[in-house]
Amino acid sequence: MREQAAAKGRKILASLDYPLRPVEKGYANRSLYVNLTDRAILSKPVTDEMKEIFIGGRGFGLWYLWNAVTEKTKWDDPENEIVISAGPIGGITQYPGAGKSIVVTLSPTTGTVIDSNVGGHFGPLLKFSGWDALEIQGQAEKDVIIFIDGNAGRVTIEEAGPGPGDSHLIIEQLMDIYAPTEEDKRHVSVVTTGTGAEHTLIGMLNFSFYDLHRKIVRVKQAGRGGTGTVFRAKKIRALVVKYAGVKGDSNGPADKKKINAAGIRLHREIAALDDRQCRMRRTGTTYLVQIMNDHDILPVHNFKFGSHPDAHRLNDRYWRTRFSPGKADGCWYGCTLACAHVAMEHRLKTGPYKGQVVAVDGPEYETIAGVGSNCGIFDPDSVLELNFYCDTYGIDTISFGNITAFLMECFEKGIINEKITGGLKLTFGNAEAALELLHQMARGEGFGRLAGQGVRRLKRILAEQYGADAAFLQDIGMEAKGLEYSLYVSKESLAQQGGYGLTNKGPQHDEAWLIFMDMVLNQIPTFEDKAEALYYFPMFRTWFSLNGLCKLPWNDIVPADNADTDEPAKVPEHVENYVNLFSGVTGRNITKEDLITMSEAVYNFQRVFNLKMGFGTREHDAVPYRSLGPATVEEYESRADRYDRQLKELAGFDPEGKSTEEKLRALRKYREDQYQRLIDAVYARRGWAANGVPTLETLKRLKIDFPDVVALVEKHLPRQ
Amino acid sequence: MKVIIRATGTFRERFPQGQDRVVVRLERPLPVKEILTEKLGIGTEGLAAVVVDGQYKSRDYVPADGEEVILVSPLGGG
Ligand code: SF4
Repeated sequence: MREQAAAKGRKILASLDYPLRPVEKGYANRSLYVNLTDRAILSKPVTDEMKEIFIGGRGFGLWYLWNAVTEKTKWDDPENEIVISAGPIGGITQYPGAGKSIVVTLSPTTGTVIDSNVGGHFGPLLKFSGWDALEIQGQAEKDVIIFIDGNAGRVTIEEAGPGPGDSHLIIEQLMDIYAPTEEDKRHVSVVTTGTGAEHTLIGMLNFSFYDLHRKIVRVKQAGRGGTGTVFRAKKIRALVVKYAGVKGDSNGPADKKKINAAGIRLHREIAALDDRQCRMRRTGTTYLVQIMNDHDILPVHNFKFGSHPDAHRLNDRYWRTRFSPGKADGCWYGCTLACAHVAMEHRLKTGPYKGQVVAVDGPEYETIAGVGSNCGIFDPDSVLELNFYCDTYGIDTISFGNITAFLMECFEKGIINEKITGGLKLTFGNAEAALELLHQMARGEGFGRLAGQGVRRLKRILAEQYGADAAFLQDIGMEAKGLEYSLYVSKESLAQQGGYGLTNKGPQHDEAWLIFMDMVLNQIPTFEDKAEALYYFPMFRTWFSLNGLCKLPWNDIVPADNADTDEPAKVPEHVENYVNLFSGVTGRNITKEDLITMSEAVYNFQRVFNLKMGFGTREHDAVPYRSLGPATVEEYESRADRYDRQLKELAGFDPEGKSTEEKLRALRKYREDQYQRLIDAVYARRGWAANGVPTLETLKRLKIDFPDVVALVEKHLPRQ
Repeated sequence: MKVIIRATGTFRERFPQGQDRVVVRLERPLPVKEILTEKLGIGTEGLAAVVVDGQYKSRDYVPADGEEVILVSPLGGG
């Protein structure tokens, strides 16, 4: 490797040679620590206590970060870390969806800890190279590459030297260097970002994998919360891992038969049922577009509305014709649900790569709804173009979509104008303006520079500098805790309002997606029912991120007899699979109840981490009113029958003869009150005090009553 | 007697174009499974859940006159 670096004129700044040894029962039993300031590279043991309490993945990330930062640390301070870990199940090839990496860092947009779950091959190859986690601290002087050669047992920090700034070109260049032969390419994974991550706070990370069938490098994104921005602040150009030799037992499972059996059961189910269920293998998550539109929960025009007559232009029928067919699109070996599709041969019409023909990874539902319907853009080619540029610039499509939609609404309301935007006509549906805004973000120029600060900061900037009504901006700017909303309209589902508002990191659906149970099926009518769902599902879903698993094979495919089970929403057979996978890999026998307790410990630890960073209490679980109900006359009147009926039947308010403004106020009072009552119920169910702080009993029960945790919590608990 | 059958998600595609609800007239009570296969010619494979009045029911559930049965397809939500 020294030769490879030298051959490209790349200077090695530091290196560590380490002994190779196999992974045992899902763990390499050590983590790789790299400090970019003093160029220290260390091997750290993974302790039994870490495995017992924090499991891996997000849990390891939180634990390392907790020990690395103080309550004063900011996202761009050298002591902030980026931690990447796959978790003990991560890397098995027998069960679909087992190759996820989880990235943990302090977020530039929220100011507190963020976790982001991503596909691609990096996490598993890192583990098979001998490391359960990669913990990066410090800040380099010049751009560097961290290279882990898992076959040679060597880690190097290398000077990156001159090179391109955008992801697709960086990856192309690095693949030429680190995987010079066709055979090598499958053994290499690159993590990188682009120029957009450098100039905005919403930077994301691309994790690569090699598409053997099409012979192209593909990427998946750790999108949320600005991980890419932190990466660039540390002056990391890329992380590269190389490991040849992935086999069915590379993860050293305690009982391979057990995981084989679970895998075979799910592979068969997918083969038999996916075509009759979500068709993930053919069109991925795009099936959601039409369904969300039909149920009036597809975000349109900055979440004002839930459907649009043109939404069909972006639905799965279109993507079926546009995605490259006939290939197994798994983002890690063995994922037969294979939803990671690609649109080949998109000719770029704008930006620095105009005229070039590129392959675009995705789009997935969140991107289509984010940069498409929410911005009033229903032209699929424009969605592809935005998707490509967001990816190569290293910009999160969810945040970008929210920011653009928010600015479009501000523009249409006259809060901003062309003078302020530098000539951009940011009206809903103007794809050209959205693309130009994106290019400006990447260049760090013009209005794009401001926009790249994210919705929370924009609210403040527009109020302070342009005299906008701060309260109105708070109502319509779709962020909570500083993180932009993922793409579901929650107005008609109180449980989902909590599913977004009562999250640790901010409104991302990977904690709880309860809209259908609540709004369509009316299965959780009482506050207690909703609180139970907001206890179980966030805990259950946290477990995926501890173990390096993808959520999709849990409930985007279900067994043929699922409807006849006691709790179909939990997909009991798949829960049983997870119990078997965990014990099959680690040798630690667990029950399905243990699975929840494991997550609960980490989940509560993350809540306390928020507390440490100055958040984590009730006021930080506040949400913009638009996520609870209609914020404007226009929205109310677009669904007036629905809201009038609710006022009469639920709020005890007679809408007859009242102005829309009066009705808006009455509905708002009712819904805000409901949200507060929901918070009370959820806190009680989660074992938290009325101000949202976990009680000492909860910490004790979950065995996270470490002295510093207890001391911190005691400071914040209400006086008895 | 009549029973209302409502479909959500991808299951809607098995219903006549543009409809998510059909009213089925029955001479005698029948389990959901049979209503679907015999009266509507719709397979039950791939069904994630059956919900009646907010409660889960199995495919063998026999709906009462006038009841609405919701057929739930798998729907993870992103
Ligand atoms: S279901 Fe899709 S996202 Fe999940 S692991 Fe498989 S290919 Fe990747």
